[in-house]
Formats: sequence, structure tokens, C-alpha cells
Amino acid sequence: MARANLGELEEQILLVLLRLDDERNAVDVAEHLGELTGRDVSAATTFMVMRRLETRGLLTSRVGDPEPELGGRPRRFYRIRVKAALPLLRASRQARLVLWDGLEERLR
Amino acid sequence: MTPRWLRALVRILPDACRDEVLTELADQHARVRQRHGRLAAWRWAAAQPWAVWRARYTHDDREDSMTLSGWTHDALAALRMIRRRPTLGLTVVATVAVSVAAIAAVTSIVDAVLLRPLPYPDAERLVWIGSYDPGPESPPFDPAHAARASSNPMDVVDWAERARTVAALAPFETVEGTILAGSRPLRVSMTSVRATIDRVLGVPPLHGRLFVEADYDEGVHVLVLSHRLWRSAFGADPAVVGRMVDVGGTTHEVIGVLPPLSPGFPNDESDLWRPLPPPAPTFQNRGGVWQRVVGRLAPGVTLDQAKQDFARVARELAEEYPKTNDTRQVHVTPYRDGVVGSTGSVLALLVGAVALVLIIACANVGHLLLVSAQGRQRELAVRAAMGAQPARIARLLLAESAWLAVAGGAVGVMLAPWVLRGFLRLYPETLPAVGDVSLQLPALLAASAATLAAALVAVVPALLGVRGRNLQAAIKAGERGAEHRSQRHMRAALVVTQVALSTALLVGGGLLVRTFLAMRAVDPGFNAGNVLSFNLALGQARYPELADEVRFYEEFFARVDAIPGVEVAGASTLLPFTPGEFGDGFYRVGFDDVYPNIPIARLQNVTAGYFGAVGLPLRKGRYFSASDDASGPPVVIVNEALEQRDFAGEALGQRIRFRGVEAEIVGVVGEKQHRSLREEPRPEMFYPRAQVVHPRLLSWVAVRTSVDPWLVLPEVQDVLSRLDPGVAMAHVDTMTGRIDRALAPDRFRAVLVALMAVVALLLAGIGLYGVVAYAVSRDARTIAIRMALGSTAGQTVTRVVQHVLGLVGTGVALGAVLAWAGHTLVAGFLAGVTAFDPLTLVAVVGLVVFVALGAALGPAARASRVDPALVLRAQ
Repeated sequence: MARANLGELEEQILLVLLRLDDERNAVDVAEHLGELTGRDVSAATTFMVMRRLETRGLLTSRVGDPEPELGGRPRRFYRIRVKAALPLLRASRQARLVLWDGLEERLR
Repeated sequence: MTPRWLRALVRILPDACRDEVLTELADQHARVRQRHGRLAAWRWAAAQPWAVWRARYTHDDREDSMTLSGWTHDALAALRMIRRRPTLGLTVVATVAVSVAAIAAVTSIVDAVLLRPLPYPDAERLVWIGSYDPGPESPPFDPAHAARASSNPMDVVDWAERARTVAALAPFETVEGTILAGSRPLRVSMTSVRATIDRVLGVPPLHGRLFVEADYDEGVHVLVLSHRLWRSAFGADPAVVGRMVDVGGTTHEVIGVLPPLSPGFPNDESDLWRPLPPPAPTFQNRGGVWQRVVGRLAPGVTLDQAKQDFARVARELAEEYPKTNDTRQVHVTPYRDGVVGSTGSVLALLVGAVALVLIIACANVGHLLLVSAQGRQRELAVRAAMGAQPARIARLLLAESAWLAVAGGAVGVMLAPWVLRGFLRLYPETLPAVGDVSLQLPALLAASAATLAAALVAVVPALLGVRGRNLQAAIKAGERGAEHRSQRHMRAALVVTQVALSTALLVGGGLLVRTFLAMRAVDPGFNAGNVLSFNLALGQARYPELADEVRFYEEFFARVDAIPGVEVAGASTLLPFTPGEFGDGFYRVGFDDVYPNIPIARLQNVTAGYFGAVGLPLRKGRYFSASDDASGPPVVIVNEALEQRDFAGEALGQRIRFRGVEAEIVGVVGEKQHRSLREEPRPEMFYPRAQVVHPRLLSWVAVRTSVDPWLVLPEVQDVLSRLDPGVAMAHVDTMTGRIDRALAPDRFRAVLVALMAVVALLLAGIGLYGVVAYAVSRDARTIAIRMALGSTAGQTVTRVVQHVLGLVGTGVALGAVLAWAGHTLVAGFLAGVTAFDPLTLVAVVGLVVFVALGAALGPAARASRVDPALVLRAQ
């Protein structure tokens, strides 16, 4: 059932996690995504996408310690599984490059 | 702290991740607020419902930004599902369409008659004010008759002086007359009105002016035209103001034209208005009542205050004039109630019937969708296995029912104009404001509401059927689907509901049909076949003396009787089934009759030919003859009802005194129905026209023919125009046509409710067929095993039929209870049959069972032809 390709938001989230090279929570990822791409993404959407990526085996996660500023609740941190994600990211990048090849000159 | 609205927002998310998403959202909210300020936090918050919604519904196998939104996707999927099952789709669409069309049509009528504002400013302040003299056994005053309640002119003068709650009162009297507009005579309905129309109705004239005080002086002849007459007779010429018009021989000046009014004042028939002078100082009759009164309440006065005020005035008058006003009540009724009359209760009946049909249609559609959902269990289970959430499946089902309902609603709205036209054709004259009934916004709103209701209600059974089911198990069970007990109960309940409601509706319709048939079978007491009848208004100005009128009729009838095909013709102040009535008291000579305890009879002045023309049979004595003229001894004829009541069956030769003239009873004729087929025949008394002691010019003519009555009409018209070109004929109809029209309300109710009932039964039949067909296909395996074990085809059919009869029996029993509970709705319309008519009930039960068996037999026969080997191998 697993798809072989990545959705746009999936791809961007994976790339953010790859850049940060660290475990991150949904709000951090959403913020970085916002800073880098100007895309306003809700933490809810980010969280659900990362959850889905985890079930596809592209991310791992752990539940952190209870945080006082969050009312004493724990939150979940995600980390990218580079080995699994990289082929998909590369394929996605390759597809884009091929599709863009020569287009810039024609559109100039 | 986590904001509460965020907590509510994440409810739609799966349990497993709800808390974690909430934590993230709360954190993001806090950060946005801290870094970008309160405004940004608001903006962020506003975007979250949509974000969470997308997070919820795009997490299966689709990327959010790249595909259709979930709803669009489901809507298309539902459309594909419908296209795979066209029969189901068409059935549902037809079912919804029928009920939506009926609802739109009925709403149009209700809107035009009951809801649309009256064409008068501050119409809620307009009231009818009328007297009512209840006898010892009279029913209480009926507001539906408020527009016809008449009052005494002296009373009205006193009301105007003493009542503190009215701004203005307008007494009026309506008569029929003939005007000459150009050269041809035209019959019109004329209303003489006291006080200014504009002060009471608040309507300014379209052209010219309305009445002023000077117009009420003696010798002033002015009139105001209705918009309709202005257009039809005067070519909508604004210069008509100032023109002279001949009204019954007197020249009147046109001073104004009213704008179009619907409903008109006092009714739609009113053609022109004249000033009604106040009672002369010498006028002292406080007994008779004939004026009708419209009033405008003073600003800020409530209806209750006005009622109390007039009750007080009525008490004062009762003390001052005990002889005439002792028991006289005064009733204040909102203008609309009087205009609408009893139409309101008819419409209530109609709305009730239509609502029942809608409920049945919803149950039917719900049932069809439930069966369809069950038949699709495998498909739905596969969807569930692929990750579709129960909510997603529900959405799919809702989309499917929405498509079907909207399609049905659209077809229904397209059908509605035809349905409306059909409704109106059945009830053409008795509805007020009937000319203005058309499909308007309210009807479309009602149709949309009905469509929405159908879409939402119809999906409920299917949703409940899917909810809580282990869909994965359903895959294993396959299409056959081990049916859940709750689903079976649900389907049974839906069928029982439909059968019960249609039974109740059928009982109501049946009773109304029986009433109609009973009324049609009533013997009116006279021979109505082959009688042409019409009204002539001679006009007091043209025929000032009784002798002039008598001479006109002698000449007229001499010529009419000579027309080939005419047997006999006669005239009277009243004909059966024409509007109007005149009753008065008389004294029996030799009895100790003392006023006011004297017998009252319906009085008619007739020519010699009247009895033959109307076909009223002679029981004793003789009819009038030519010798019963002004020079002969006074004579009267009475009917059997009067003979029985006042003379113990021996009236012949007795003498009565009326208005000081003593007359001998020379004949007794049969009783007849006069105003409706429902009334008990009343005591009547007939005077020869030539001896009349109470002249009344307005006259009805009856012509008995040996051929089709319409064939002689042109020649009768010819005779009339040669005799007096200034007299016009009006209200031409055959006597059977008049009786037919008197039956129109009964026919309307009977046909419409019976029609709804038949539609309901049809829908119930479709529903039942669906249930049985589904049950048979579901139980194919069981049936096959039974047959393999030696069960016969007959036994199989019997088992299916038993199942159906069980459902139908429950439904019919419930329907009977429902009909009993709702019998008051129709009881008022019944005649010749009781609300608990056993024959109707038996017929309805028989019909329902018959239709049920018809619906069940097809699937049952299919079950009996099952080949056990084939079925068992397939499974």
C-alpha cells in the first residue's frame, strides 16, 4: 500500500528535518518551514503529516519529558531516518530537475 | 493554559493523536502571540479550524494541496455510486419530487391566502365589526363568517359615537345593479359605503378623489370605480373622472378610481362604490340587520381591548333597547380572518396531508438508502479497510442522499406549477385571492426545506445501519452480509411507519370521498336537470312601481315561453344555490301568535311559472295561476317543512298574516335544499309576484327546457335585449352547474386528500416491495436449504407473505389508532358519514393489504423459483 512518491508538504518537512539534523517537534518544523519557504503551516497539519511519515518508516519519534511551560504535558520529537528517506527525496529532486530542465531559458 | 476552543477543535481528530496535536497547537499559539503580537495570534487562530480539518481528512493517501478537497471527492464518488444503481436513484428522485412538488404547490396557496400581507397600510388594525343574535340553540359566533355578519344601521351610529377603540367605522351595503357604460348594459356589484374608504382602508385613489362629506347629501350621485371595472369597461382612461354613467336609470358622476386591491374591499367582486347616506332622522328600525361594517382600530389599541370596548357598548345598548338588543352581541374580528373564512381549516387539512406524504417519502427514501447501504457492505468494508474512517463513510452516504434529494427537489420544483394548476382547477371560486396564487419565494423556500429535510432524514437509517458495525467482518460475510438485528428492526420500523401513515391518510381521504358521494346522492328536492338560470337587475329607477316590473316579466315570459325548446319559465327573488336569503316572521290567523314569538320562514316572491321551471313538486292544493294578481284574493304557498312545523300537517285553507295582509294557503310544495346539500330543508313561504307586499327588485329567472339548456341561451338573450336593452343578464348557469359548484369544496377536499393518500400508499408499496425483495435475496441461502430439505414453493411463498402481513398488520393497526387520534381534523368536513365509519376502515384495510400483497408477491414468487443447487453452489 505504501506509495513510492512524496507529497509536496511531506517532501518539505523531510528536507527541513534533514537540514536541522536533529530531533524536532511539530511547532519547530512548522516555524522553520515558514522561515525558509514563507509557507504558513499549522502545527496540527505538520504533526499529522509527520505521524503519517512515521508510519511509512521515514521518521522515528520519541516522547519527551513533561514540559512545565506546556502545562506539564510531554510532547513528541521526530527524527528523520536518512537511509529510508533519502532515495525518495532524491527521486523527487530528480523528477523536478528533469521537469525544469531547459524551461528557464524558454520562459525568460 | 490550553485555550478551550482549541480543545473543541481537535475533537474531530483520532483519539490516538488528539492530545499531542493539542499540545503542539497550544505551543504554536503561545509562540505566535509572544513574537508577533495579539493580532497575529488572532489571525493564526482564525486559520486553525480549516487547518485541523485538513489535517484530519487528508492524512490517508492524498496530499492536501494537490487534490480535490474531501467533500468534492466524496460528492463525485457518491455520484458514481448512484450511476451504478440507476433504478434506485430514479425511485428516490421520483419519491422526493412528488412530495416536494406537492409542498411547493400547497405553500403557494397558503402564502397567497394566509401569509401575504393585505394591500392596506397597517392592515393589522383593520377589523370586521358585526352583530350576532344567538338563539337558544345557536352555535357560538364563527369568526370565519365575520365578513358576512350584518348589523343594524342605528346600532352602527351608536357604535361610532360610543366606542373608544376605533379610529373610523365604515358601514356598507352591497347590491347588484346594471350600469350603462357606452351603449351596452353591464352587470356590476355595487357597494354603498358610509364614512370615507380612505380613512378606514388607508388607500388613496389612483385617479380623482374619494368621497367627502358633501357626497352623502341627498340628490348627489357620485361613484368611485374599481381598478378592474375602470380597465374592462372604460379602457383604463384616466379622463374617466368627471364622466357621467347611468346606474340603474340614475346618472352618476365618476369622481375617482381605486388602485388594484387584492383581496378587494369588501370582496374581489366589488366593481364600484357609492356613498351610503346616514340613516334618516325618521328611521327608527332597530330590529333588522343588513349593514356590514369594517373598522380601523385606533393606534396602539389591541384586538382584545377593542373586543372589550364593543362588548361594553353592546351591554349599554341592550339596557337602553331591551326589545331589540337584549341578546345581541357585537364581534370584532381581524380583517384577514373574515376574508379567509373557512379556507384556513381546509388549508390546514391540506398542509397536514402534504406533511404526511413528505414524512412517508423520507421514510421511503431512508429505507431505500439503508437497503442500498446494506447491499454495499462489502464495498464499504473495503473502503474502511483501506483506511476510510467511519465519518468518511458517513460523509459518502450523506453525499449520496444529498445528490438524490437535490435532484428530486429540482424535479419537484419543475413539476410544482402543474401540480398547483391542478389544485387550483379543483377549487376555482371559493378561495379568496385565488387569482394571485403563483410559485413565489415562500414556495421555493418550502421546497428547499423539504429537500434538505429529505436529504438529512433519509440518510439517518443508513448511518445508524453502518455505525458500530464491524465492517471487516462484513468483508468475510460478503454481499450476503449477516444482518444485524438492529438493522432488521430499523427496516421493519420504517415500513410500519409508512404503512401506518398511509393508512391514516387513506382513512381521512376515504371519509371525505364518502362525504362527497353522500352529498352528490342527496336529493335536492327539486328537478335540477335541464334548467337554465340567471339574474336580472331591473333597477328601481327604470321600474319604480311593482306594476312596471310585473308587466316586464309578463311580456318577457310570454316571449321566452314561445322559444322552441323552452317548456316553462319563471322568476323568483331567490333560486336554490344562488347567494342571498330573505327570512321574516308571520302570524297564523286563529293562533295566539304574539311578537316576538312568531314563526319565521324563508320568503320568496315568485311568478306563476316558477314552480314548473324549478321542478318543485306539488303535494297538496294548487300552484299559483294567472288569476292570483293584484285584484285577486291574497294567496300563499308553503312547503312541507312549514306545514309540519306550524300547522301539524294540515296547512291547506289556513290563513296567515304578513305585514298586515291576510292570505290563504292554497298549496303545499315539497321541501328543497337551498344553500347547500348539507342543510336541513327549512320552512318556506311563496308569494305570487303580482301580490307582493314587500317589493324586491332583484330577480332570478329559471327556464326549464326540453333540450340542452345552453342551446336556448342566445334566444333568451335576444328576447331580453329587444324588450329592454338597458337590462343585462348575469350569473348565467344551469341549475346542475350551481349544485355542482356547491359541491366544489367537498370535491376539493375529497380529491386532494384521497390523491395524497394514494400517493402515500404507492410510496408505501414501493417501500414494502424493497423490503421484501431485499429480505428474499438476503435469505436466498436459507430458502435454498429449506427447499433442498423438501419445503415446497407454496410454503416458501406463504412464509414471505406471512412476514409481510406481520409488518402490514402492525402498520394498519397503528394507522387506525393514528386516524382515530386525528379524526377531529376531518370531522368538521364530514356529512352523511361518521368519523368512525366501519365501511371506510374495512375498505382501507382491504386496500392496504391488497397493495402490500401485490408488492410482496413478485419477490415471493422469485423466492419460490429458487434453484437450491445453484444458490448453494454459488455460496
